[in-house]
Amino acid sequence: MNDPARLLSTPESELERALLEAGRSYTASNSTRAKTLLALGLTAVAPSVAPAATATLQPLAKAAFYKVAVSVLLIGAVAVPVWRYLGPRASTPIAQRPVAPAAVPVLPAPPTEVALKPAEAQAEIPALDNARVESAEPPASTGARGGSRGTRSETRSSVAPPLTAELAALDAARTSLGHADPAGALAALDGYAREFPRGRLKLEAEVLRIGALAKSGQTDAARKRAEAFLKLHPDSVLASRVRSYAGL
Amino acid sequence: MLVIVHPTVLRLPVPGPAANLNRVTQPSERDTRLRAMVDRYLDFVARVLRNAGTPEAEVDDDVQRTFIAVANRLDDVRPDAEKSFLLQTALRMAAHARRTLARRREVHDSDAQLRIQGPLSPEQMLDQKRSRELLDEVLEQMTVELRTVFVLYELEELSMTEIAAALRIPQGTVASRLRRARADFRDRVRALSGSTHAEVGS
Repeated sequence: MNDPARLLSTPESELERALLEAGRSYTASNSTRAKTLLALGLTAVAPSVAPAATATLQPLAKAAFYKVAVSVLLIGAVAVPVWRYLGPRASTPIAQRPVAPAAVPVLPAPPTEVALKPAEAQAEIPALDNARVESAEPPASTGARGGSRGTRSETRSSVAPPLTAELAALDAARTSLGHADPAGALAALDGYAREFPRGRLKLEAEVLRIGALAKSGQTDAARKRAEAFLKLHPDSVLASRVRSYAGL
Repeated sequence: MLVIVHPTVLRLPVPGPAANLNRVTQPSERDTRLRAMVDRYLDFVARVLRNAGTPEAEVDDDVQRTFIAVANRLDDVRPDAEKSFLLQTALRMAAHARRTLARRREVHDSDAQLRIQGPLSPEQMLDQKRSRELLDEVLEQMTVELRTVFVLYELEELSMTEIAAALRIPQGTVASRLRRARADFRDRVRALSGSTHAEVGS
């Protein structure tokens, strides 16, 4: 039986062509890919992917740098007048007060540290593919909530630990699990919990913890945590992984 | 016992790319296969889901569910049947999404009336986002059987033999459904085009 020619090869109208092309041109976004890989527990980088990812992530690093730079300027703009008004009176005898304090020393320490982050990010980036970075984007609901908080939220996010660090910490746990070292994975997850108490990937961390507990023979603990997870997130795409880890 | 600790955990300076690459765990055969499937079929699965009726906002979740379903039965899936397995799973997901949407519309049944609103200029008609919305409207008005065959043949460019195998129906049925689906699609596009032109002209 011969297949007839596709409609798109002989469209009746421009509208028909446009509709058919719209149907054919639909593609998944990079974040869909990232989320899918995360849901499958496949966030570790394949060696062949890393070099390409380096190029892809350059714009992300640039964007992060500009965000940090803007934050430093904003914080500096607030800090300088405040320091001028309060700083010398509070801590320095009148005779020693500078007439006009230099701008650089009065910048608070945190922005200086933050300004160094892009360099760290550059060093980390080659080890991570774009999927993993995008996978860490907050879900749409949280994004919308964050957006409504305006400037305060932006300032806070710019000084928050980089997502790459969170991803790297979880990778350490995943690597240990891959090496049949559940104790190492649990230690890495403890480190993650200490370092990122409000981590954006804590659900993924919890799933890894359930897996590590199960593999270390602590099946009761794994099961309890799995049941709690499933109760809180019954429709999560991570649910099937949790069930398989805990044998539910 | 050798314990491998990621340098980020210890807050040590992170070495360059070459060192990082050496530290990467060798992926298992299963992981490699899954990753290859995602790389190869992600767009296909997303497109089938979307064109078969999954709302845009739910495509992400259903793509993940589709691949998770396949991952759970990976040992049962022959390498040459991966696409077919993903297709069948995606179609089931889309059917579920359509049912959910239909239930929602019973509550908010004005939704369907809201979307096609004229008048549209020719530029708007050809705008890709608008085209997508119009395509959704046209496809939603088709029956599920006709829509599925139409999507697989016209948008996914599967052959009639492949469609028959995936849907487990005879090729004659595929041919008959395709014929009716194409006629139905063209009628609806003509009607849409005509009414839109009339509105523009008035």
